[in-house]
Amino acid sequence: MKLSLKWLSQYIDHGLSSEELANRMTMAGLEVEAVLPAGDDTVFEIEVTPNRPDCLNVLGLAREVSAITDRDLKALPPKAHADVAQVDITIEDKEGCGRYLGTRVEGVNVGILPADKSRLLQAIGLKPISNIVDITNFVLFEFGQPLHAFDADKLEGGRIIVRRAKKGEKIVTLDDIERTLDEGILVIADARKPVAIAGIMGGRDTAVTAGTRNILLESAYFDMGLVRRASRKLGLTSDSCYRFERGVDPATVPTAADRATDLILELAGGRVTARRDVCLREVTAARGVIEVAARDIRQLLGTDIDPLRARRILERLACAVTVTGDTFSVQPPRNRNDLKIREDIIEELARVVGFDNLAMSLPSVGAINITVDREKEDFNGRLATSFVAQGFHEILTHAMISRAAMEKTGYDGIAPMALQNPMSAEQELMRPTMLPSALQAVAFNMNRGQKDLKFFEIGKRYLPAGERWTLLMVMTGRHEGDWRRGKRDAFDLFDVKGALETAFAAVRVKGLEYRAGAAAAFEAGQAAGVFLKGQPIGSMGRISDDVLGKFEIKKAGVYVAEIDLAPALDALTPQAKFAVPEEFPAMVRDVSLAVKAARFEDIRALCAARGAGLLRKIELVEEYRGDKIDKGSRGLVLSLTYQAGDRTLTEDAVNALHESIVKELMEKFEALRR
Amino acid sequence: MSWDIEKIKIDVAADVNAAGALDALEAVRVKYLGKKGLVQEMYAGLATATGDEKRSLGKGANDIKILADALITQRKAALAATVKRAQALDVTMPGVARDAGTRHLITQTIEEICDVFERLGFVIQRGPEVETEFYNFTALNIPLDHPSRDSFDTFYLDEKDPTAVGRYLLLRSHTSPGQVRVMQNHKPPLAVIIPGKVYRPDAVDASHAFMFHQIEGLLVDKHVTFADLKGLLTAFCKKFFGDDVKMRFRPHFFPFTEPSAEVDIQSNIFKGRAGKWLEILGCGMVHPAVFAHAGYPAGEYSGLAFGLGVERIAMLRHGIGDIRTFTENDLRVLKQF
Repeated sequence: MKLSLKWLSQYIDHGLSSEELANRMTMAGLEVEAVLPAGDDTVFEIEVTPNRPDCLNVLGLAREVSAITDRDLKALPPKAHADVAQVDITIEDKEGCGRYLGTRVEGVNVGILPADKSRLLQAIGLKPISNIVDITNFVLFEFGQPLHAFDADKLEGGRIIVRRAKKGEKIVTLDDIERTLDEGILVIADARKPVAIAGIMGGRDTAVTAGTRNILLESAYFDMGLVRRASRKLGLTSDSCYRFERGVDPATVPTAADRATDLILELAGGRVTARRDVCLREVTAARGVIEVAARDIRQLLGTDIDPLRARRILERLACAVTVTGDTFSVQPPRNRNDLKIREDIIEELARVVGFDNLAMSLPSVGAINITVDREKEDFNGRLATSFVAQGFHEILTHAMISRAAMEKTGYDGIAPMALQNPMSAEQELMRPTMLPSALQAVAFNMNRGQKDLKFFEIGKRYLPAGERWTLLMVMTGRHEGDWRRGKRDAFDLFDVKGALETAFAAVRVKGLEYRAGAAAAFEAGQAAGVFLKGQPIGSMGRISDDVLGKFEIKKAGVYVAEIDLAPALDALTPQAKFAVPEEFPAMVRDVSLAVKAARFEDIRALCAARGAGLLRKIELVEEYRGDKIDKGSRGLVLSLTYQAGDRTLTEDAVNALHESIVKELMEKFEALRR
Repeated sequence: MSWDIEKIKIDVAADVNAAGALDALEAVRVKYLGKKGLVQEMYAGLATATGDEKRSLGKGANDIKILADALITQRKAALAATVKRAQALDVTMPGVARDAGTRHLITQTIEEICDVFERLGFVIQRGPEVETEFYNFTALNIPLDHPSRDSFDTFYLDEKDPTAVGRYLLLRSHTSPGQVRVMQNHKPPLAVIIPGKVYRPDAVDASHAFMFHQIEGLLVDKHVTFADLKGLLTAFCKKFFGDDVKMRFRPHFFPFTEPSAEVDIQSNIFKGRAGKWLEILGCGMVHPAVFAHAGYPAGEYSGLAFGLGVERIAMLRHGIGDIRTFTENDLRVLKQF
């Protein structure tokens, strides 16, 4: 809402500089967002919140300034006109239109508005059109009541009918655009056709032009919801519409009509030949009385407000106040739809006094009725801490993805949730998988020459059955350099796996298992399904070159893991119990085997099963694939650690056990000793 | 055989000095002190010598032995030091370290803000991002068809709301729905902080994103006042932005609080924004209609609520000009925080 200070001064002498006035209004809830010079005038750009339609006009703002500065409003007694002859008004849609006042003025001279008023309109950005139209705008901004002037001679049958549009009915509005209407839209029609979209914009063909002699002035009250829906449907708004959808006061309908009529008679000549006020809604009923006791004020604000001051504030805001003991009975003015309950009245006092002038205390937060499982609450944070310690950078990706991106990853799981009103195809789905997010982050960085990436995100996937906390890991490129070695190893699946295991160990989740093969996005033979307690919880591996190509990532080994966190959270193991460090010495025996089909996990499990309670550790030292071994075989070097809790083991005993294990490995897995 | 003791002494010194390396020095040692060395030879000569000659030869041999021993030991130490100097590390070579990773600035900021309130006794709660119209609007006293909804423009999902006939699920446009969810599940006193993602179909530019983060706070008890609200948020701002932060509580409108305010701050830590009021949060006293939707008896409780925009706070504090920076995940940016 733009406010001309010259215009304001017609209703109040506030006695403040424009800067001080702007500050005081801002601190009373009418935020002055800009103070703009406009010739010898100054214009405030005010953010009026949607609960305050009464402030969308100069008089309403003057009333606020009166309360803020504790100064009187200048009286403005509008001349009341009485109904004379009939205007042919029919309100068919009684829900949509509560009041319609038509005033017929004949013999007007359409011309230009005098400079003193025209300048005020121009200061707030309105272009002069003609004296008649400018007067309707002037009164709109003065009282907040939208008005419209028709060329009375162009109204077929001289009739005004307020009704719903018929489906497919058309009107060319003042902006020269033909609009197609339907039953959801309220119109003003003459005997034959719509002549205005009620509360939003008039029609071109019945508009006042230079040749207009007789006018019909409309001042009406339309249903706010209906106007709002029509405005949205048509994608059309106006100063009039803006006020109707926020709420205007039906009691202002005659006041504004008469003010405009007076101005027309004064500035454009003519005479009133007919005036009729069709009022369907009870507008005289006063608002209910709200009781506010001093105790209520203290309880809500934690501070008292001087009762004399309080009363003056409310009266300056046009409330009727009676005082009984320490209780105010407050009757808000008709146009303050936002004042309904005690708290609303107390807020009026608080904001005019100024929030910054109220007391301040620290609340005592006592025993709270909510118990929090810290372990679970901190789970994501502890997981993140471990990844950070391992050199991963946390990323933040969009929860929405495009269908194309999802399809690029070959996702074939549960159908994702789609948005009804996405802003673009880039954000049409709630992601059921985080893989596209990962690959987009990789592509973004690779395009900027950053090839060594270790990323993680703890975010959500969104499925119709619910939101799933999910861990995403991404690794591509090489390990950080070590000038003592020179060579930098490329990341592979085992880096992802190791980092995942370290992080899960940090949050005390144990027992991850891996099975070859995984979702479509991964390269065959370089991926694994991840399982916890036998249930699949995600997958990891190398993204296939085909999928990488679709994300425009070239020549890179990109390793990703996507892990569902809910099962992990359920699998938290208890806090560790203290164990006495082993006292007797350990003995280490290595064995080098050539194996064919056997999986490491099977070999490990067999060793563990045959360890006779003495095998403490089974470590893989090295894997060898190459010329020095039979085709189809690979070499594995294992290091086995033996130890007893109650004695020092003898060499003979360890060697015998070790040999028996090796022998069984050789038999069971057709392994050869190397 | 006669020995020129003084000349031998000079020879020893010259030989030792001439030895430029440890092996050469060892040869000098063998020459004089070895089993077949000069000193042994002199001792052997004692057998045939007599009288004064024998005495002076004995003393001479001893002197030479002591001298050679001392000079060689000294020379050996000097040579060893030279060798060590040559083998010393270049301590200015770079250390070898594992690079540490980073938390994202947004999660860092969320944790930091939550920490402040947790220390004040608040507990963290979370709510769903996929919400119903009831929690996102109705329960918060926001009429479904009213301009006061405009500032909460919303993404709708093509997914029916199982709790309301003919209505659809939506993505929460603020974290405030969490207020009612918490109140439905818990009786006061309660003090909770609800961080999370929110969504609005805003055209994306440097200061608008369609997904961002908010932190909701709610304190409900028997006698919570607006003074408490001011005190709590002032304590927060001082802890988070520093003691010299300037604040103001500006009246505003939210359908779910009454009175409602926005908090503006000024701080020297905001580069280039000195002397400007910057809005950082919205707050107010819980509206009685919200208590009613939560199922609390009328007039029994009072509460304060507030909501912070995480991106905005992080942008102000770190001088980030474009909100899109947060979701680009540029490694060069991630490493800065």
